[in-house]
Amino acid sequence: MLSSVFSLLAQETPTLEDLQEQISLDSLVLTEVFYYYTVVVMWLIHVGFMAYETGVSRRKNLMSTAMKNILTIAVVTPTFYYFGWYIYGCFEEGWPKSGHASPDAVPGFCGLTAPWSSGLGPNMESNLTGHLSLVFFLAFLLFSWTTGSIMSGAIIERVRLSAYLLLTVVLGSVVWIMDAAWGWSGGGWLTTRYGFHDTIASLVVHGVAGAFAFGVLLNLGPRIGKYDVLGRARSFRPHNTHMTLMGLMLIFTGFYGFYAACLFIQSTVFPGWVNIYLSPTTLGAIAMVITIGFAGGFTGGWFASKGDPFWTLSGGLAGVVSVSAGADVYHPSLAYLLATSGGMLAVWSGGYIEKKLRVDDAVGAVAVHGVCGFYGVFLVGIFAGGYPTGINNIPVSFGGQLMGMMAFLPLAFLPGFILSWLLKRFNLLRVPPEVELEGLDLAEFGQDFYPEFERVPEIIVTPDGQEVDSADILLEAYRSTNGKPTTRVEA
Amino acid sequence: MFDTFPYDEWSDTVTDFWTWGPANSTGTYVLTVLGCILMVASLIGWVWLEKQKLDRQAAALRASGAFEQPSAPGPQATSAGD
Repeated sequence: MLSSVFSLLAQETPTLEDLQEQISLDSLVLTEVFYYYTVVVMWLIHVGFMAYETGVSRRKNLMSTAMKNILTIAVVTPTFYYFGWYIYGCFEEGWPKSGHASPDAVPGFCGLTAPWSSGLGPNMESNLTGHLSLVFFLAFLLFSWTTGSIMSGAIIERVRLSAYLLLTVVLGSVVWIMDAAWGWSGGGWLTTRYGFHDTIASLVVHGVAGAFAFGVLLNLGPRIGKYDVLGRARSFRPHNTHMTLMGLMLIFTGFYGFYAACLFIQSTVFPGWVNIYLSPTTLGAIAMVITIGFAGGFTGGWFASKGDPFWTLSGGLAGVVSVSAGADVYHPSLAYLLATSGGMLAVWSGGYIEKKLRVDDAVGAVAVHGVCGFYGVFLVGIFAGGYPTGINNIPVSFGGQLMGMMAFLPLAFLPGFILSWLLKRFNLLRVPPEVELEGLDLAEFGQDFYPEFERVPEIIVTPDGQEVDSADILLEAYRSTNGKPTTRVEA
Repeated sequence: MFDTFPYDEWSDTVTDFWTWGPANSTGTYVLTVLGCILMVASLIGWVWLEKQKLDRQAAALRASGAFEQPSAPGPQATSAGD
């Protein structure tokens, strides 16, 4: 004990510069650790999407469904590393400046996003390029996986695995990150000029993924037997609803990491938390909004669906998506009200898309993420108008929000539609109809993944609510359309 | 002991060692190109391999005739009904 005291007294008194350097290092490490753990928590979103979609699929398609989510990591990670992150760093003002000079708002950032730069390789420097760049990249990478997962659920049970992988590369490593550069960054042109405000990514992640998925669904077509000759929708029974609900709960858990990763703290630069636009906020504020957003969403989903378990939980997700754009400024009571409306909107729009538009979205992703994503940004224009956003402190306005919606709708929909149309032209989009009827797992993997469970007849729910053996219906649908996906309606 | 820990010196050594050199060097450019080639090749490989599998399975199913005859027994044998 005494020797320790002598040892301390013998040390030189640290200078002010020494202390400043130490505090700066500690602050950087704190930020690094913070982002690291947001990535860990966000993995649960991906685990959840896999369980959610696999549970929704029929037994014969479960592994092909799960494999899409797993291989999303295999294709989006390298593509995002080689060009996705560069798009975020260099396209904030619309197009990179000559010589790849950085955007004015974030000097030096563009140069750190190239795959051969110091920002994307290991280095020991105690600054942005050393400690923070890679964990910040990883947080955005997890957002990219999420966009792919949002789309993947909509198109299960008939899309080719390889077609999905190509589509998710474009969505996860080009489309969403381009819109993030424009409207979800300190220097994005939509923010600096129009005050576009979408703090926790209602539109830039969810809405954009939903719009992209909608474009794909138009070319992909419905599952065989989904619609009868009058165009009325039938329902396929999920093979494991418990797994689906568990998956949704995992997604919800992961959302706390997602929300946290949308904020930034670095005490030697900012005196407190800032959002993605560098506007002050608090971690508590967004945590409160997400929690009460789930409460409102569950409530809205429950009542709008008359207690349907799937739509009650999907309503929770829709509720959170609806309030995410303004999570940094909403009062909890306002978030509760808006999230409830979002949960209801998801149920109603999901029914409209399925029954009126006759688009077969297997998990309601277009309604939950697409419709509610755009709805969330729309709501900010109404309820948070005048709030100063971004480094230029441009007030949020309804016009600015509309500008973002008008920019992102074609940015998301057209690539999804065009790429899926091209894949369809080359017969690479959809599995052969015979394989679809038999089940994708036997063709892709050569096995049934519940080998010790008896194979019982597959059930389909008719438009009038009766549960019947699907075999005759599916075969009739196959023969009457010669195996081509259609929503043919007879007068 | 920790006052004399040579972190900065060792850090410089580690930084110099990063395989194939530091940022913006020939080594990192070569690695980037190799990684991009693997990325593209794997995407092409996924498309090609899956096409082979699906075409083979679809041909076998069509050859079985299970989907052709309206009077054929239900899809128990073909697994269409799971």
